[in-house]
Amino acid sequence: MTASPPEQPAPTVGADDTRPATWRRALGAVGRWWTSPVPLARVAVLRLVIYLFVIFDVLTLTNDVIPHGYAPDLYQPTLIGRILPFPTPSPGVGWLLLVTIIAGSLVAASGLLPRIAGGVVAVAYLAWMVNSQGFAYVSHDHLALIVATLVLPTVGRARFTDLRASEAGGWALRAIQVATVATYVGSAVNKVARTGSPWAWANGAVFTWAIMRRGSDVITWTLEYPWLLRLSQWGLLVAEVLSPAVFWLRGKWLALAIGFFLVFHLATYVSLGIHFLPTVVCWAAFAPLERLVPPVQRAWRRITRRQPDPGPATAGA
Amino acid sequence: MPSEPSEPIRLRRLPRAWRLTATAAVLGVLATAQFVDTNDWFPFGSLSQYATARDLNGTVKSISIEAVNASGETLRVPLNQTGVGVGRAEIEGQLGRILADPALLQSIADAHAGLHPDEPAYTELTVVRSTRALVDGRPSGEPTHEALATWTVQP
Repeated sequence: MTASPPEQPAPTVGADDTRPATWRRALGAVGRWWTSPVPLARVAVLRLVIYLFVIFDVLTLTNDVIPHGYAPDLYQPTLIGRILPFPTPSPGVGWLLLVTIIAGSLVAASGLLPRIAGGVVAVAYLAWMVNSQGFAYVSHDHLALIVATLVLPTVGRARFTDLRASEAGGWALRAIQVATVATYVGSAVNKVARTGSPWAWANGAVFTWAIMRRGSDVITWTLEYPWLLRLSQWGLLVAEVLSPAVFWLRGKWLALAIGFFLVFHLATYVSLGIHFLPTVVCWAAFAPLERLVPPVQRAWRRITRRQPDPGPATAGA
Repeated sequence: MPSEPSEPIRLRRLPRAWRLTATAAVLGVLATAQFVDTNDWFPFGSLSQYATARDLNGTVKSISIEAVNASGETLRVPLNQTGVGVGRAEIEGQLGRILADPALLQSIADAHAGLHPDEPAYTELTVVRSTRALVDGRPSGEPTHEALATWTVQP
């Protein structure tokens, strides 16, 4: 399934052939949406954010990989862990992956060797995640971040000051955006598919269940008000279903919609200890990040200028 | 010096084709996974965290592991990343397997010994299930605890 290239002249068609032409036009529009050009500087800033976050992730959020190495009998790898030659968990393998991911991420974040360093991180991070998620529990907050590590290396060179628009950069950012939104809308689809009805989940007791199992002191009072929790379940399900609306929103409305999801994640973190930070960071793919570069450059110039002039004695050294 | 924005840098035919093909394939897998409802297709599997509807008049169950250590103390095994590396949800996710073969609990003792060599070793591990009832979506009565499996740790 590929889009027809826009430069190809439209074939001369009779009245009978309008349907295929409509199809081609629609596919072309979909292809253009998926590759809407973005400034390369935006890719450079997002790349910095994503790779620094990957380092934070392996050190603090998915830091169970090295400890998992002490319990290899409980390893139940998912499909790609069984078909790809990823190593069996052991502390040594965990340390090797950790060092590889951190070193690769530092290089990739700087913009040097974007394809090689990014490719190494993509493979090592996938191996890391297959281990972290390979012990009979799969969380779903890493979808967009894993997609980000897979697509960012495909952009190639992108400087922090390069404001030229790029379709390759556009596709990478679009893929991260769609993966971010898919995390919400897909989970709504799964709730409906799993329960077999659009309302069974929201009318059930899932928040009660979650709060009883892992609720913090700030949230346990709500257990006495099941109607409030049911209302919140409806609110979450509606927000998840409507999440693709962010692709039609602009400016402050887009910021407001993203802000809603960030507040939701803050609330689940405070009440249940579930933060979804790997998804939160990927919302950055919606922001005009290249605008951060000039202020940082100005601040940098001010700092470097303020440094004391070397005295005449050292000037000639 | 920032480069001047000009005509966008276009993708050539082949690089564009593989990107759109990969996009369609991944979206297809991810969408199908929601209906097949499988975690096995990670990272493009079902987005199923908290997707199960819970009965307003059902029960809330939770698994923990209790340990007796070499000093004779009974304590709760820290089922988390820094404790024994394996989390509570990971034990619950393969509970059937562990109950069928409690020797798998040896891994928990081994992980504890490897991660905390200065702490007294575990000598016995018991899987405990706590259950509390819901009535009209509200917790009711006291939780009950039952031991599901016990394993004497091999030195």
